[in-house]
Amino acid sequence: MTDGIDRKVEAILDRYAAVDWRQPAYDPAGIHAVYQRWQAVVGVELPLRLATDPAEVGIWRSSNGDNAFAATDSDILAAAARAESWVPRFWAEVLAGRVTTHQTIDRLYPELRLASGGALPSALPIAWDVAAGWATLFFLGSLNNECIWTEASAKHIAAAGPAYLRAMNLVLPFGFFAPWGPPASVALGLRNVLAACSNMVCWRKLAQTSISQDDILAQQLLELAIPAPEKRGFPRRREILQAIITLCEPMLAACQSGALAHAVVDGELVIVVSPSIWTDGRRLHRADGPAIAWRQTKAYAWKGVFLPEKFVLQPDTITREVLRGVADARLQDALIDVYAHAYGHRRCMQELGGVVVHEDGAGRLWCIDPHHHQSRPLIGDMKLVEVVNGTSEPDGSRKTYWLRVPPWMRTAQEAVAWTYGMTPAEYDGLVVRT
Amino acid sequence: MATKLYAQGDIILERVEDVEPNGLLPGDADGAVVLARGELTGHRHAFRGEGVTLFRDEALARGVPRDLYIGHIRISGPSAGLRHEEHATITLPAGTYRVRRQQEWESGGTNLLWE
Repeated sequence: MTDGIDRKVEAILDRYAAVDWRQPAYDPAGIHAVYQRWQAVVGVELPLRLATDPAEVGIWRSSNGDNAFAATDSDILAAAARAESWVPRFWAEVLAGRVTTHQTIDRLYPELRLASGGALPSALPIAWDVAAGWATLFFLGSLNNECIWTEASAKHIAAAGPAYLRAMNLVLPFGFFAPWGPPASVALGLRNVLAACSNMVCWRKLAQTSISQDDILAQQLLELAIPAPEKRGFPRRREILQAIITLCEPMLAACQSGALAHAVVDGELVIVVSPSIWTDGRRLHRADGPAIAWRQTKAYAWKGVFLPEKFVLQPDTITREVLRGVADARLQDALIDVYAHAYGHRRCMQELGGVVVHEDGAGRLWCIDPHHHQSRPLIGDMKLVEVVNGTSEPDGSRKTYWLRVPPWMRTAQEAVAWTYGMTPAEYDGLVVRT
Repeated sequence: MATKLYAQGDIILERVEDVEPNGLLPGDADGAVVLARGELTGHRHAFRGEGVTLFRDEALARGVPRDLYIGHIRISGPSAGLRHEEHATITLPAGTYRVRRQQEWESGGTNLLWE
């Protein structure tokens, strides 16, 4: 890559990779400056207001008033249609955004994996899913607000010429409002589109975008009452990439400065700063505090499941009665896990209704049975296998490991075999275990 | 007769037919051939060279759940010791072994274990 535009693309990709989404920067002056620049790009001119906590902005309200999260994926997805409930919408957006983005990349760039060995990752990191999901939620916080500036912006973009339209066509798969989306969402789309355009196999495919996709764009412009401009010749790769960068780079800069999301509220462009985020490497997770934290608003999560604060900070509040009142399996598992993490699995089994359902040379198979169906544990009940380490400790004792296994396991050997992806018959060949 | 298995913590090795290594994987800077590394502890399931070759060939991993397959090792010398800070060393005779990691169940899917 020697062309000037390719150096710009490389610089953008490097900046994206350097953003710390877990402990983001807090640069109010930088946020102000970049949003002034962004407003010029999208054709909006509004006074700016910085919010250091979503509680400062009235349009976002928690479902239960105390910013505590108690729902899991299934509840959240089912409740996603309720506009007043921002917790369910957040998770729905995260999941929808992740699925949409993955499907888009798979659909647009199937040659990439074959041709290049991966300018784009096949699985996007959870970090950006989380950040983009949160930011998308705020962006969609008020439908009325988004119409004010997307119309103005779309007209601005349409007037800017064919390169901008072609650039729009490329970023559109990431969401129709892509250039006006929240910083993390736009930065993600920018990064992925530029990385793909750097691969000439993908570029050739993108450049040969069919007429039908242009028709889709024309239709969308008509829906915004914007007449489709005459095509004045196919813009060159350099022009298109520059247009993409011009459209979307300010949102990358916003991420770097610590902005999370923005929306028009009472005539102001309100920007909410990014929270600190804790994960276990894959999912929102923190054992000793909130997994998402602004100055005031906090959310607690265990391995990707949101939990009320009290259960994370005071696990002794998790009882059999609490488990009996929980219908969702993921939430139940999370609560059991929190308790076991705090007090050990042995006590967890004693206090939360654990029973041994089978024992053999491989270990002990336990079932958590809070409803006391001891004679016939429910097939869906949570199961763990207790395995003694094959190696002694210096004092002669042996560590015990507890592994979660599928609820349909019937014997300890079957469970241990499953943990290695084997059948009990395959596991019969064990010579030594240390 | 069941395939011979050797388990060390969250790693298990299956004795398989000898094959020509394809898709060689590099060792660590200290020369160790590392099968897996603990995310939190940094502890390694590793051989100290000793005529051990690590390679990864997806064509040889059919039948292994995809995320569990680590690779294959070929032991060229008479034997090699698989070491780990928390487990006794396993001495493996010469031959080829398929290596997989352990998983744990979570509602909604599985989770790979990293000791």
